[in-house]
Amino acid sequence: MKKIDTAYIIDDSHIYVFGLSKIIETYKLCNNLLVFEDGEKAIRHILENIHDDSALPEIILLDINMPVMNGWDFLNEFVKLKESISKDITIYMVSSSIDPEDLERAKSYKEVSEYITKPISISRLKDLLKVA
Amino acid sequence: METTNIHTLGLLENASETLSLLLEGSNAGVWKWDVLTGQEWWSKRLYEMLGYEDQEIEASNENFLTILLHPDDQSITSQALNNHIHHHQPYKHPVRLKHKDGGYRWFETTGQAQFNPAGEPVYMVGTVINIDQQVQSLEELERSKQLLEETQTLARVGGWEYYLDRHELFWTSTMYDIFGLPQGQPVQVEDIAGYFTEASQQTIQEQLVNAIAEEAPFDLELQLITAQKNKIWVRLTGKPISTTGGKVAGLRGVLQDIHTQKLREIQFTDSLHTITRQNNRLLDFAFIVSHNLRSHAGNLEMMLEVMKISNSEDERNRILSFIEHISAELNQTIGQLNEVIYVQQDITQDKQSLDVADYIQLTREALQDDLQSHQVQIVEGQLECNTIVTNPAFLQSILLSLVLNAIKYRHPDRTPTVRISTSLEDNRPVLTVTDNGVGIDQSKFETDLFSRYETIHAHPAARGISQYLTRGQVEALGVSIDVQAVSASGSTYKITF
Repeated sequence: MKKIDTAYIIDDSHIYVFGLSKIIETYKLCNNLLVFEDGEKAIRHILENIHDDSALPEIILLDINMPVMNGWDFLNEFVKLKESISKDITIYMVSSSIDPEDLERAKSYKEVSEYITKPISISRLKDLLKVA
Repeated sequence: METTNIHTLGLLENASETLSLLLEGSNAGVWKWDVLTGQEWWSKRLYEMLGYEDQEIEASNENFLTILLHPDDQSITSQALNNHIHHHQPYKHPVRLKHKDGGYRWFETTGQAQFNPAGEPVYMVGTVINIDQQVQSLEELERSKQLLEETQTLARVGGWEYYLDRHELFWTSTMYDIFGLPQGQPVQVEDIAGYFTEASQQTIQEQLVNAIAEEAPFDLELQLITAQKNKIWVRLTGKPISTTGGKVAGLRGVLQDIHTQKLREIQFTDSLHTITRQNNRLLDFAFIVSHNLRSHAGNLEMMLEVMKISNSEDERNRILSFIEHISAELNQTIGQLNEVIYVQQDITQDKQSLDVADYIQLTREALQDDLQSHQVQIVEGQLECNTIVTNPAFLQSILLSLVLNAIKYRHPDRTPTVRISTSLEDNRPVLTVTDNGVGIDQSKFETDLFSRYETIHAHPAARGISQYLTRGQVEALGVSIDVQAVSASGSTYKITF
């Protein structure tokens, strides 16, 4: 089983990010974990490394509600960049929202592999970061 | 004169034969009355018309009066006879005679008396013609007319017709009722417009011109002011009357008093509005539950899991402080839920006179981090209105929202600048917020703006805001929000209070 090299967390909740990082770190689920507190910062990172596959993530854990650029806006920007990216990037939408509208909307993006409601358990996180 | 004589002579020669042929062939029943002896004679046809065999009953004045003539027609008959004999007036009037089957039929009876030189009647002859069909048709027509009138009165529907060339307007009686005018008063087409509200007048004008020019029917809801100065809702429909040549000769239509229905409709719309507002509140509630409440609960759960795998005292202390934080936030969110249910109902009542400069300063402070990291300038323009009377949460939300918007849609080559000013337009305070960003799609503006509220809610800067507003509540505050200009040089939002 191949270990994940790089993963993104795009989320503005410091507590959630702290917990998630702690779990990933403890179980050594990936080598590099990059945290962005809004979609725009993540997009900028992707743009800066667009031709450097080693710097790009295999997995993105994306929140919905964030200031400046929220999850949906991030996806829209990401779709535009996708053609220039050769690396396979798996996006998980991770939100505390159980609003069916959010779920439907997530399904409408083929870039989104799954919609996961917070909190993510340790075992679930292990599964997610293993598969890729 | 010889020819005439010969002919007359010929007729007279065969007088009785000619007469009997005439009597048999004619549709008229014939009667003769000898005034001196009182004797009567009725033709075979007369008996037939009433369902009797010839001579089945005796031809007598008594039988005529007691068996045949309708009791209600006796006085008119004796009066007519009197007038004929004494005043030589024509004897001709409609009467009801009883058929052998028991039913009455309408007949027209005529007669002529023969007078002696002393001017006394000697005998009298006359005819009886069946006019039952005509009378029945007339009665039916009258009945239909009455039914129509009554239906129109009950339904408060009037009919109208207007002919262009004759300049003639025809109204059914209910039209007068609806307008509150005395029946039959002549109405001029020019005066009609005056009975409608100004807005309705304009609509009528346009539709009439269109109906005549384009041969288009119309169906309008208008407000009519009756002669008694009552303002009522009416439905006016009309369609062109075409000549055989295809030209529009006039218009014909219906006017209905729909005031009661319309009031009910308005009431219904109001209720719908209330329901929508309530529904929005429920949606707010659901939103807070599904986002904030769940987010705190999720974080709490995660912290407890992390606590288990944590191996340093320091870290555990940190986790504990996080848990404290989450617990405080949970408390706050529960407070918000409470407010959504109880406080937001009275949002329109919570209007205060707010100092605009204060709120600009509050916005600066709340967004300090964002402003610094994106080097955003908030410029205070001319504040023609120092204060605005509105709901404090709303003013705070809208300012935060628009500044965050300016950051989101900032232009890559420009230092983001947001200019905030106030002015007075049509006696209403207007808050104008202009940015120098890339400009946003106007059609997405509203959805974007209100979803901003949701994001603001999750934004750290929103901590101080205990509530956020839905579309319905913004409307309830009597506020209108417009994107004044969207261009490459930025966006301008105008909020009218």
